[in-house]
Amino acid sequence: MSFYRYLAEGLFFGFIVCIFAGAFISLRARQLMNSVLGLAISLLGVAGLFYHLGSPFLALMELLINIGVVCVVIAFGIMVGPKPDQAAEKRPPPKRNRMLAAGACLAASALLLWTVLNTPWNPAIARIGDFTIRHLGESLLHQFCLPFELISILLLVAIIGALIIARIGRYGARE
Amino acid sequence: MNDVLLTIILIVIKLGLVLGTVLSLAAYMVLAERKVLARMQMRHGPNRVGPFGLLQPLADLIKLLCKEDLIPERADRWVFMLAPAISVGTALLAFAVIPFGAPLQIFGRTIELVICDLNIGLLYLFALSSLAVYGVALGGWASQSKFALLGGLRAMAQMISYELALGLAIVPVVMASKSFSLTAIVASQQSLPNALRHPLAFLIFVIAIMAESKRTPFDMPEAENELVAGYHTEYSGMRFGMFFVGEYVNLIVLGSMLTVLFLGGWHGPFLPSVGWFLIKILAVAFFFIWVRGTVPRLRYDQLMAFGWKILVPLGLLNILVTAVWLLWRG
Amino acid sequence: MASENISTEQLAGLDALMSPLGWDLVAFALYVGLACTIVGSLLLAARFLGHRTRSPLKGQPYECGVEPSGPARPGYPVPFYLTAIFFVVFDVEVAFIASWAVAYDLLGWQGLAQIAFFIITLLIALFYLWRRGALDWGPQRR
Repeated sequence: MSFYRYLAEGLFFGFIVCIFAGAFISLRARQLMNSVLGLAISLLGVAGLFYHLGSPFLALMELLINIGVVCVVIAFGIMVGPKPDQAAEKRPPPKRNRMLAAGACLAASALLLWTVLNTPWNPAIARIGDFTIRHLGESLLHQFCLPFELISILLLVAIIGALIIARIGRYGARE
Repeated sequence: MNDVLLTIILIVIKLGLVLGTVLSLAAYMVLAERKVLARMQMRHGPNRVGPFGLLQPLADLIKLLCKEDLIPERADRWVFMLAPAISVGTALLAFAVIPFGAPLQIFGRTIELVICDLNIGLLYLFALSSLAVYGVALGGWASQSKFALLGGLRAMAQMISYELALGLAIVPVVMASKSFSLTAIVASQQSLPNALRHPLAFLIFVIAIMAESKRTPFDMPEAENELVAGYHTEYSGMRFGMFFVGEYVNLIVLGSMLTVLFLGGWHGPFLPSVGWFLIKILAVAFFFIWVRGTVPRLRYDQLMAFGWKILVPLGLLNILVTAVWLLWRG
Repeated sequence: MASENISTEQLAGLDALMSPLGWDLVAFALYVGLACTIVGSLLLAARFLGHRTRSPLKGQPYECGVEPSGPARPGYPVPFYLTAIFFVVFDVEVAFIASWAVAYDLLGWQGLAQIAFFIITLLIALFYLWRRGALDWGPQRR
């Protein structure tokens, strides 16, 4: 019956391939919209990984929030904006931007690596307790009460920020 | 091993029946819509192909399949070709978690009349409906045409706005059943459908799914007298047909959602459970067609204002009031 | 259920995949496969069944029969994009409210007070948007 084992591992590597394929599309795409699609494919793989780790809830949240909302907003931005200047896109980016991008990527991967190395990884079987969504909802408001309330403030600030950037109402004239 | 084989065979039969029913129902929904609309406008509707025009969907399918598959010169070819698939695919996949009948006893084993009884089925539906935006957006964008792009933008803005209202209207239902599982939600409505228990949420939900399906009075994305056909202006042949099929499958999915969440699912006296489920879906579909035949289209600013200034605050307040009421009652 | 025959050791590789759903997962996978096959064959049919001709006029975007003018993407009004931003904010909110709603009876009045704070903060945000005119699409009132 090691068939199931192979199935599970096969799925795992399928999700990994999905993530990398998405990232590759996203990097190589000639048009911005295709990059967003690559990002969405990549995130689909991440959702699959969450499922593989035993949390369908998180997997669907990933699907809902990251693919269904964040990527849609980026796509929206691309659609609303005018077509970018082709010639300007072909020009190689200035050296300073490259350095900054490389720095940001390295910092992010260092942070991730540090987290990976410092997390005690329990085998999956040990974690299956009475974990239900009701339990999740309860702990969200009991143990993580303060972050939860702070999120609402954060969202409020995000809205005000969006208005200021779009220069609507008091902050400036609208087209 | 025999046991495993039998289970798989039963699953395959169930899948075949479900997919066959959904697709043919979608095809006949088109005919039904044309017929009913025609009657409402004192016309006869299609009646040439087969008795009462019953073979019309088949004729349409053949015609669409044999039409030329146009791809505009400057279009983003791959995205253009794949966008209709997203629109059909998300609609079809949504049906996987919808319970369409009471458990059945055959060969001494119980068969659940749902493809996958996901314990977070509601979130699954919600996630898929947010993915459905992609079909429209990419279709509109990849065409590189003004009408298509503007239609796509309008559709996206409308769908995401009303998705919010949809999500808010679902919350009271979740509170009543204390679960995201659709089977649990149906079970919680055995005595009283949620439509009577949470009338305001029901109202918001009905309006939201009407907007979500982009039908009159919310058909701004494809308002034909200003945008030609909206996001599928540049499509032809079966790719156009796929958007069409997706729209009608989506109509069935939304009708099933309404049935499962608010109309008591497959519960009902006398008739078998699957029968009740079908009747409820068809009733919802008829209601949609009726509304289409009666109500004029909204203006775009009215549409957005209605979603954001009325439905969203109302949905939020409704949640608070429902919570207070449920907790106070104990 | 056949999944009960699997030993713990085998389950370790499979735990999350099979245990919560069992045969339903198989059914789901088959359903996804079937649906993808249908959609895929429709796409292929669209590609190969119809005849195709090419001409420069056919390749143009449709603009009611006159020659297309101007860029296809002239840039569209900002309110569209703002709607998307607000959607992010409020959709995250809905996700949190839904997580509270499944456990509302366990959390009791205290939980209600917390979520009420959450909801009211966002209602304030919504009314702020309203007052600022970010939700108005028509011509602006002066």
